[in-house]
Amino acid sequence: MKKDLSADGYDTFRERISQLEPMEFEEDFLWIAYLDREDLLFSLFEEDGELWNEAAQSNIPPLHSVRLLSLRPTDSRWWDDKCYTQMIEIYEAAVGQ
Amino acid sequence: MTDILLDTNVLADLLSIFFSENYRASRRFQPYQTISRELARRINQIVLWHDDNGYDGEDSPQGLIISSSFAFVEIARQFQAIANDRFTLAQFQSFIAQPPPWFFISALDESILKHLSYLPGEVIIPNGRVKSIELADALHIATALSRDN
Repeated sequence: MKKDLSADGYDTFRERISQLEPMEFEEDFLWIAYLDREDLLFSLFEEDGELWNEAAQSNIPPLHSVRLLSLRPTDSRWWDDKCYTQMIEIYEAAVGQ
Repeated sequence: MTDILLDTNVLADLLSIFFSENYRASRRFQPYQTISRELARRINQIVLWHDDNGYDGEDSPQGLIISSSFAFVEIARQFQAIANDRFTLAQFQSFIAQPPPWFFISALDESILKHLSYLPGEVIIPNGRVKSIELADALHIATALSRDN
């Protein structure tokens, strides 16, 4: 397989994790991406069986694909699209830094 | 119980074999690209056990073949290049919807977080060179380690 050009480095990720500990969370929430088989099935595919292009593309970092899939509002999820929108805003702000 | 955990490349090759006419006829995995003779033998051992016993559960005594949901995301991100006409999108979707009893799609969840924190940042590859590990590799390794919980 061709190496993903937008692949994240593990060192960077580990550094981010180590920074989490002393961090204070404004609303006492720490979101951890959760993606099991059912989530994957309902988030990754459109109703017509096509891939959901927003996440299934290689020009975004792999972890961002996971974020999009784990927060994509679907009928099987209890949250509305507010979480998804907030995540996009946080991500875009971080990328813009 | 010994599970076999497949990373993205090996998963893609396994799916290619699984959806091939040869597999449909023989129900046996043959060595192919990243799937060595020994790996094919171990996979067949697990598949045969499940076929014979009809056991469908995460704690199979014979072990399971496992991939992280992340490996499926990686395939989806480059579907055309990786599938390369070896399996279709509908087949890929059907595998996720109903994996065979010998295959388990491991969730990407908090259980792998602690393992991610303790992995080395670099590994020595077979030719002796030191290489930084990518996050994708780290996620596969942490998924394997989390199976021992």
